[in-house]
Amino acid sequence: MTRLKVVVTGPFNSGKTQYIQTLSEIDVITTERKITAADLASIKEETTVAMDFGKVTRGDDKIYLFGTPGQEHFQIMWEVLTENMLGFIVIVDSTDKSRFKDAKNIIKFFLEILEEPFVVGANKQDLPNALSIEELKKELDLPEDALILPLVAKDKKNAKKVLDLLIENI
Amino acid sequence: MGVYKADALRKSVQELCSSIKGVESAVLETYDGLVLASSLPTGPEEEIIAAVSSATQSAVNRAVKELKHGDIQNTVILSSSGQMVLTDIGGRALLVIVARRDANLGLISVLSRRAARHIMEVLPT
Repeated sequence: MTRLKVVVTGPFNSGKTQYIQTLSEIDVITTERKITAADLASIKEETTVAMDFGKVTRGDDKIYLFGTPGQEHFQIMWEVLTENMLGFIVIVDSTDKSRFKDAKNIIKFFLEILEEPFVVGANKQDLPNALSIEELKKELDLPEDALILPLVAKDKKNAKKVLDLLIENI
Repeated sequence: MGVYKADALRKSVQELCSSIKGVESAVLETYDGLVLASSLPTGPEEEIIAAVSSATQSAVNRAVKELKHGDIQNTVILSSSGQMVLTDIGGRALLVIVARRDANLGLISVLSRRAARHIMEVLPT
C-alpha cells in the first residue's frame, strides 16, 4: 500500500472543491466561509479559506487530495499544503478568461517551489462558451507537451481521468 | 518504518490516551498530514484529524515565524464541548490529543511534551 499526497489548486471559482467532492469516497472536509467582498460575493456565496480534504482508493494506493483556497491572499496555505506532495492538479474554469492570469500565476508559483508533475483540468467543458484545449494551452502559456485534459468536475468518470493521468506521471 | 518502531510509537500514543482522564484519542502524524501512529482504528477519522491538524499547526507556525516568536511548541484549540492540543515533535512530527472539554489541559500539555521527547528518540529519521 502506498500513500500519495496530491494537491488540487487553481483560481477562485474554478471548481476545486467540487472536483474533490466528486472523487472522494469520504465526506470531504471543507473550510468554506461566506464571501464578504462584494465583487466576489456576486459570483458565489462561499469560498474555501483553508483547505479541502478528500480520499480516493486506487488499487493498493490511497490518494489523499488536499484542495487549496483559490484567492491569492491565502497563499500561505498553498505553501503549507504543498509539503511533501507528489504532484498537483490545476483546475481552470475554461469559460472565464478574466482568471487565466491567476491560473498562470498559480502554476508559476507552484513550479518555483516544486518540480512535481502536474495536470491541468480544463473545467466547465459542458458550458457552451468553454475554450478548447488548444486555445487554453495558448492562453495559459503552457508548453506543447503539458498535461491538460478537458474536465467536467461534477462528472466522476471525467474527474477520475484527470487524476489517473497525474498518477501515471508521478 | 520497522515493525519495532511502529509498535513503540503506537504504544506511547496509546499510553498517553489511557493515562489522562477525558482524553478521547491521540494521533501521531507527519507535518504533511499522514498518520504515523494513532489510538484510533485505521480509517477516515484518524486521517481527517491528521490532515486538518497538520495544516492548522503549519499555518499557525507561519504566524509565529512572522512575529519572530521563535519555534512553535503547541497549538491549543478549545471548543464548547472539546479540546485539541497539537504538540510539535522537533519539527519532524506532530502529536495531537483530542479530549473532552473537562479534561485537564495542564496535564495534557505536560504529558504531551514528555511523550514528544520520548517519541523523538524512536522516530525514524
